Amino acid sequence: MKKLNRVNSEILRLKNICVQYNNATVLENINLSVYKTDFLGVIGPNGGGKTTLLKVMLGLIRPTTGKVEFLGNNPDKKQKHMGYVPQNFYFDRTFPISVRDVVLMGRLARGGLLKKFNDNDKKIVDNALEKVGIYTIKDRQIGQLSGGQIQRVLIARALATEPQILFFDEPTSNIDRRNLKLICSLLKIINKNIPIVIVSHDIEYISTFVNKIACLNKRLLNKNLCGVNKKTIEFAYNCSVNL
Amino acid sequence: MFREFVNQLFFGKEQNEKMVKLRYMIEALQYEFMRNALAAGILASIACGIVGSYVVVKRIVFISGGVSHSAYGGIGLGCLFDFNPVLGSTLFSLAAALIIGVVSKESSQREDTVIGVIWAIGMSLGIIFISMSPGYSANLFSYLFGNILTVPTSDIFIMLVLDSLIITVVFLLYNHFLALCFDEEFALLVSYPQKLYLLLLCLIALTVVILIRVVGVILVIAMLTIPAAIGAQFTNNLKKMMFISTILGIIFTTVGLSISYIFNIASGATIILFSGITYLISIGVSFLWQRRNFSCNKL
Ligand SMILES: Nc1ncnc2c1ncn2[C@@H]1O[C@H](COP(=O)(O)OP(=O)(O)OP(=O)(O)O)[C@@H](O)[C@H]1O
Ligand SMILES: [Mg+2]
Repeated sequence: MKKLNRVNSEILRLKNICVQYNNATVLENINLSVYKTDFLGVIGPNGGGKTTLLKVMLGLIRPTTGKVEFLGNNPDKKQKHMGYVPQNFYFDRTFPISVRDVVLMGRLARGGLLKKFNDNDKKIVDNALEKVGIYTIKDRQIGQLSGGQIQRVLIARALATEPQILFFDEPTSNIDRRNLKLICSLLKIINKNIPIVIVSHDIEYISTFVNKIACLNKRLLNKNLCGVNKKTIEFAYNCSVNL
Repeated sequence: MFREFVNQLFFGKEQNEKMVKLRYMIEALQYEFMRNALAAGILASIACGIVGSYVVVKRIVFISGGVSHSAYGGIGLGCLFDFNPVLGSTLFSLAAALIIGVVSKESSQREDTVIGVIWAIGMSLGIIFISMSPGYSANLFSYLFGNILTVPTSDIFIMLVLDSLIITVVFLLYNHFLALCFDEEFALLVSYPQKLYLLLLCLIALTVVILIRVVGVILVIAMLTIPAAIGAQFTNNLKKMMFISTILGIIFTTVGLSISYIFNIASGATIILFSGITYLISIGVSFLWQRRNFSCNKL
């Protein structure tokens, strides 16, 4: 009974979320819950509001109306337990920082303002680097990495926060086949403990491992999330797809 | 020859005799003077090695310029109401830092526009206050261009306190500052970047106060950025960059001070000129270094 309760527990809930940028509505009346076992794929056309939705869930964007609850609270207070891999990562390629130090930043989520990194933090970070297959380049300056390598650094950093929910915004767009496999099997393992929300355009691909799909084009097109069919997706994208 | 030329240039002929007397006085006091000047140079180098590294990696040189020029308003206020201009410049530069930080983040105004406006307002206030106060011309130059040779012991004490404050804050918050500088969006998730950013701007304001004594309002940004920019070429680690730029700062101020004393030329400008030339040379050296490595790899 107890176990069942935990498995089904709701981690994050969106209630009547609307988001407007300068009076243009980007998200309209979104109601959505993420449960502990969810591996939720979010799909939709460019400008459909996927990134915005993720940022609302993360507490990075305050919705115009509506409420976000993360473990029963406002995400502002609990956001330290969320892992995030952004779609666009703008950074200064000349910044004097090594790959390992970037991933160590994830550990700031655990500890207060005066946080100093200890051996345990370093172990967790090295482990995360290993998992995404970039341990060997851990001492390189961040600007010397390729696009796919940087995406993997960001994934490692999100893992290093030891989050209670993970968000990925197009995390795989730059990653080659071999490492994609590595990362997908990694995500499946992670998903045994925490929910994952992933945004992707590669519907055929994500439909092989997500267990729920949300079609987003300003509104949520499939209210019950599961039971995705060709029709909804074609409606969302306004073109035909092969599943 | 040169000394007379400078005297005439800055003070006019009729004040020449006074200047000569002043020089004898200075030479009599030489020992304490030089000691204070050296101490001021070292204290300033520590502050600008640490804070200047943040300024360079976060690319907020222009903000530092705004903060330092606004400090002139506080200096003017000090001259007008006859209190220590260091206090006035502290108040004004802190206020400018907070205004720039809050307005540029909270309103939809473009950041560089806000900085430009604050810069100009602070400068204008300084000019107006100073023109209203009696006997202003001497002060004007020492605060605009700095004079490390006239730093009183009381100011050394203030600099020491400010330095300790900066070192303590950076030591305690180093990791969070690093996250803030590298990736503000991620910092929102694991840290408190909005508040820490304001704190960082306040540290810049305090550094500006220290540096004004040494190189003056106008040259502060050069002193903040040049040692850090040279340091950045030799390391990929922010802590090491801070250390290297502190050492470089000490070399620049000490050598610059000696040159300016021997040839009796303006100390602030000498220090900056020496640092600037070193910077240019270091660019050339690192360029050749990279080319050499590149051709080695090829072989
Ligand atoms: N900062 C902003 N200011 C104004 N409008 C914005 C801003 N960010 C996004 N928008 C608008 O919000 C809408 C949704 O953007 P969002 O980035 O969420 O789309 P997306 O679904 O992630 O698209 P993509 O597939 O291209 O990543 C777009 O129409 C965009 O023009
Ligand atoms: Mg997007």
